[in-house]
Amino acid sequence: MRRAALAALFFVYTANASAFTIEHSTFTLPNGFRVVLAPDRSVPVAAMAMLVPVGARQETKGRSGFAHLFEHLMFDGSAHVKKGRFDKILEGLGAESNASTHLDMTFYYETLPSNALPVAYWLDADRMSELRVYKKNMRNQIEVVKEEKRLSVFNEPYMPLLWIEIQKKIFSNWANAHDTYGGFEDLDAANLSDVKKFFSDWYAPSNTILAVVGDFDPKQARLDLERYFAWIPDRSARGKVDLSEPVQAGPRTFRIADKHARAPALATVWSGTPKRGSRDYYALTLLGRYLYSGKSARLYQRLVKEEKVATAIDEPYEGGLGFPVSDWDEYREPGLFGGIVVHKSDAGFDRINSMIIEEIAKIAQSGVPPKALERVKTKFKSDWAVSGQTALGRAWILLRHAALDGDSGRANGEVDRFMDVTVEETKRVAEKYLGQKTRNEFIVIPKKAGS
Amino acid sequence: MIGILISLLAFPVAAESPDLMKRQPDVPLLADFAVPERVRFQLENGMRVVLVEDHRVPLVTVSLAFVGAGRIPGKGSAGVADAFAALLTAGTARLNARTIVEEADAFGGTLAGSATDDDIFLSGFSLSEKAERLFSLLDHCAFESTFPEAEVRLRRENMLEELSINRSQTDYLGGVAFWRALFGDHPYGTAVTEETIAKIDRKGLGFLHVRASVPSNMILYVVGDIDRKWLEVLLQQTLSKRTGRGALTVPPYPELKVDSKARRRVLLLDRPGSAQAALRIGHRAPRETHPDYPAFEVANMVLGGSFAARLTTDLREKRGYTYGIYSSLPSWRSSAAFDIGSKVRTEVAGKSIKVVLKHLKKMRRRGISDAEIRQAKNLLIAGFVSEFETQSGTLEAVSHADLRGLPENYLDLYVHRIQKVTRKHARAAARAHIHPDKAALVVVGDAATLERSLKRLSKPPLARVDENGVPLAR
Repeated sequence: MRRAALAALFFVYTANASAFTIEHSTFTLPNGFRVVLAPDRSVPVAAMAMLVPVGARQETKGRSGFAHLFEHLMFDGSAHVKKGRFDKILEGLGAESNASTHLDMTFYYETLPSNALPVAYWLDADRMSELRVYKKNMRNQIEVVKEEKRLSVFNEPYMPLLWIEIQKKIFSNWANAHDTYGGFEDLDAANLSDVKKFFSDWYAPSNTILAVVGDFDPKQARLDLERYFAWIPDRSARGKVDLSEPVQAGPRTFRIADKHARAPALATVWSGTPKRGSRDYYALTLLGRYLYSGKSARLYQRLVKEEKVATAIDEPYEGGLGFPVSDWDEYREPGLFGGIVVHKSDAGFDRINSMIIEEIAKIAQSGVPPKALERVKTKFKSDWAVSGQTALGRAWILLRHAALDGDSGRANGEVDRFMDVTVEETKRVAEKYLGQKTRNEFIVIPKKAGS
Repeated sequence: MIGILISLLAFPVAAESPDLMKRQPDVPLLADFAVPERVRFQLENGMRVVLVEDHRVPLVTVSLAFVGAGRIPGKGSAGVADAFAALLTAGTARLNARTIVEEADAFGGTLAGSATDDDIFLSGFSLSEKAERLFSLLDHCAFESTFPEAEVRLRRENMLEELSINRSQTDYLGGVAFWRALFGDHPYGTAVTEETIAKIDRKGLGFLHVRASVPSNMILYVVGDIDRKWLEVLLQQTLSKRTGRGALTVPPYPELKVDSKARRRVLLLDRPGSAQAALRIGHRAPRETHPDYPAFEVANMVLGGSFAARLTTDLREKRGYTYGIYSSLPSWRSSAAFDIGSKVRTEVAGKSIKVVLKHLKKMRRRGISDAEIRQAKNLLIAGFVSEFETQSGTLEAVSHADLRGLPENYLDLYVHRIQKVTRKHARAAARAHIHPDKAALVVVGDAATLERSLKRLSKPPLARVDENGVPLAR
């Protein structure tokens, strides 16, 4: 039997440049589908992924929750794949599939043994060309997404704050202010023609990016993708949505009652954060990880370990750039920076608040301490490497850069841009973005139902 | 150019779909998969090293196995090996728990202990550029841990807390009673109790450490972006320096074979007021070394190894008795089991067991369809190959095969062996190794509601068990 050491086929690492590179090629089909191919033959596994740059922020007023509803409908039947068959077919092949809805995109994937890759092409081409949405399955999926919101938002501590209230209170542009799950009245009011319009507005070939990553022959993959996808007629997709936000005029404090929370919490959130891909973006991302990420995070050490006033700073959500509903990797302005601290009842939010302000002031004074910045960078680099181990992980890296930066190639060299962040830059962004004027405090008060 | 550009706003897009869209594409057999090469060598102190070079990502993943050390505490000492493993990173003369975590952060990874009933491991990973620090901390914690008194006490408290949380969950209790039913008071059959936790002390852990940290009884597994030369340099500075060669090895337990005298029996653990009942059904089974094993794995997959398997299709999709039901083939160094588990609504618990037993009989008597066989093989092969996508998956596969005493080419031939399984093989394996008449039927739930429906499921009278799975005096 043939044996081989796993060779460095795609993830090339050279000590001098610290380059984390995913070798890949791109092309565009005649109807506009953009394609990213990243072959790696070391393991007979592949990922097929599709990214449609429509998320909650691209929804129309009065039709909130549509991007997410649509994500569900994409699994519910198409021209040649009856309702329920999509999952069954993939399961039978040892494959998995899922999707996620974000602020600015919807991400679909299948991971499968590489011999089954054509089945993924076929399934995805079928649902991109002709979805079979009927009134009955639309109603059914509306109930499913409402139930999802009840369970994961309304029934969980702090989630109404994190998923709904923070955006709603801080942003004034509806596109940014409404939540991804959508309002129940909007969902209930949906009719088939809305759904059809959403599909034709956004799910056009020229508005979709496909990625195939893993064990395949790129020439064959290109031929197959042309056969399965190029016949699908393009449609005119909608243009950009206005996401602009006015500059916040001064600090604000909000009080939120939470009937599931057992302990009080304080969320501190700043608006007016930097442009994705700018120097400030990289510096503020690492600053966020220094404050909020893991057991060695500054706020964990100060509030949980030293002062013993808080119980968690990374539960239920880790803070940083993009907080609360997106993450640094999918971040795009206008966004937020911040985090949530679950604290002891007797600690008082004023004390917690002043400790946070003090820690920020230290950074604005002299930057993230050099040794700590080094540690944060090492962890960042390691996390990036871990996430790039699987075909699906690499597909996500390539597609998010293709969608948000307009170029999958931007993924290569991105780690270096984070490694280039200096202590001085962390000082500058703390001063510039984490000041008094753009700060918002959310005080969560546990409140038993009925009391 | 392929395809015609038409601008359409209608939905569905009313374009003519080409013929190839009309049917699902055929799926060829998966190409031969070459499991990465394992390089083996031995250090002068007797420690064995297994290296898989993997330069796909700039990481190094390691696991140091204290071979057989999980067996040292012996009968009546459940939890001691777990506590030992957890405390390997709780402090040394030079570092405390916090500085150990900080050092792991500084090399961009982790280091943590874990234990099974057979072996103990100290495992972690780092960025490959920081591998030197990973090896240094691994060596230091494996050999210099001091099991500080305060940390031992904290561990005991946490274990008691975890035990009380676990015991509030019916599926945990189901597992405890199930393993007890299969293995009695053998260490494979017993779970932690307040008494075994109370036995954990600094002195005992120290003895275990002396007995376990013998280089000639250790295997170091390394998967990562590192070549043999660099690895040998790192080892020279660290693990190579440790002595203790020639100490006693810890032999495996005698094989616990399928119990030919076992009879079907119902064991009931009372959780008054529980709305759901946890079920565990099964018996001892052959290990991976048995020639029928690949066919048995395929048969198990058809029965309940996936979402598309018979048990899920029937009990979840058709009858709506449960949210999920699985069957699996867990194994140890010296035994293995056939294990079905589910949580069902209390009022359908008796019926659910009957349906499961019916499926077991059907597996033995009737055939398995081509589609089922194909799907089961696809799932097993997909699961196997995807393990090698990550360093930790590769390390897990390699060390598992090694420590179970499986043949050197076990992994290399895995895909081939599964592909060779036919309907006939799978059915024969089901008949030979699935025994509804020898199964332990464990139920955890509201006894007052459940008892009647369970009484007629076995000839021996229903037995009540306590939360440690021990039968209560009648």
